Amino acid sequence: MTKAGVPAHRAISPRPFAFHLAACQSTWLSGAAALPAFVQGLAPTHPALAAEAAALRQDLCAAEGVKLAEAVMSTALARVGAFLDGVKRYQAHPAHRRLQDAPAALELGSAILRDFGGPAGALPVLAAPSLVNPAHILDLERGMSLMRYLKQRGFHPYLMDWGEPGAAEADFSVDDYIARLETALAHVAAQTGQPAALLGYCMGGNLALPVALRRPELVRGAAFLATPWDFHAEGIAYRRAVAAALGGSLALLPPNEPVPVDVLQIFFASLDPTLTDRKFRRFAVLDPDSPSARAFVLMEDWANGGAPLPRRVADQCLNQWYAENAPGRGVWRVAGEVIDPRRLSCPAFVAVPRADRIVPPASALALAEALPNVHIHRTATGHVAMVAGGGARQGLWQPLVAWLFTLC
Amino acid sequence: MARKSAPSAPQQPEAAPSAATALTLLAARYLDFWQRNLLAWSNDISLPPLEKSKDD
Repeated sequence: MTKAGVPAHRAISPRPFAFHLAACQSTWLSGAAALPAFVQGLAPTHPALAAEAAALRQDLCAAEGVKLAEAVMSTALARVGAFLDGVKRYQAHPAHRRLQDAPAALELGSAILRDFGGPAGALPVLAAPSLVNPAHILDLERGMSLMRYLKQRGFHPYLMDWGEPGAAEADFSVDDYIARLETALAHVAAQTGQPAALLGYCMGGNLALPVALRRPELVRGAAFLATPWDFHAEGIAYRRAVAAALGGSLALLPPNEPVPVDVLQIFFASLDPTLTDRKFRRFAVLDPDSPSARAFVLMEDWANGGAPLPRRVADQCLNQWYAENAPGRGVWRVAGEVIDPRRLSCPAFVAVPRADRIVPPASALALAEALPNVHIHRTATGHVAMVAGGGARQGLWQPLVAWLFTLC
Repeated sequence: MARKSAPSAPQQPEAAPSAATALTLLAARYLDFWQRNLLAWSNDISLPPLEKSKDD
């Protein structure tokens, strides 16, 4: 953190900056370069956009060629400029996360189990986020914190803050993190004197499921929020292609070192290489004092944060999950045991965001379909907005709490 | 004459910017399309089936 509380990584965000800048320039300048080919019908247009392309081509043909080319190039350059302006405004924005992290109930290497407190006898809820981005997406700020909302509704939330891997975690695999979550769950159950509800967000759900299967006596129910399961489900081919390229590139990195944040960020950025350009150009014209601008800054700080991933974990996620689809094919093993969701005896809640770019709905639904006692909840949002966006309270938190009450 | 020409004076500058604006809007429309076209292709990528694993 800097003195002002602004995370130091903001100065190099959105990261990796060179990737985003190149994607932005490539989009707009290739558009300008392709204008003559497009006008002549030589540029490939997607079949779904064919009618729009024909109408556009007709209008372009009616314009004066040289002036049109100048206008397109000038607009393209202005868009690159607007993107850079948005980045500059983001980096200079005074907003930052002001919440104090909840106190530690337990330290496990670099991981901290955070205890938000709750009334005596309240149902404990242990939340496990992904290993890739910081845990505080579930505790972003007042009014944008699922953890604090759960406490307000009478539960006793705990958050697994995985922290930055240190020497102890350098050789960690996914199994080691699952073992750590199991230790945290046992601690929560011992401290509160009752089994807990487990809640996994994104790949946190992949960590929570084996724990729920291994320790049924400690788990009252399990919630999986946008948790990927079938990594070869419909709509995921592009993600597989990106993961395969990235998985192959791991061999090029220095051996035995964690995978840098920027490499991981390329995976997310590649899912929609045009998104960062659109987001930052929109931010450039947003009132910087508006709540939307503040929310944007906090979310970007979170998305660009995170820690390097231990090598074995990255290898398992990219190769064993995305490339081989071990979970979806029913061959994923943890500590020698096949992880079979059909064996989960406790009630389950599966949240599926319809507009999820990171975990396509079909991938998350595959988990729901395999669970024997499940409540499926669909939201209209995307992957992150579902848990921390403006509509999160009504879209997810309230339905989740309603389900949690059925466990009490 | 002066009276007759007076009303046309303000119309002249308006006509020029509107042509330029129309061209800028058309350029923006084309570039918006171009970006969506790129995204549509990347979302529509399809891969050949992976080799069957021993576990299948």
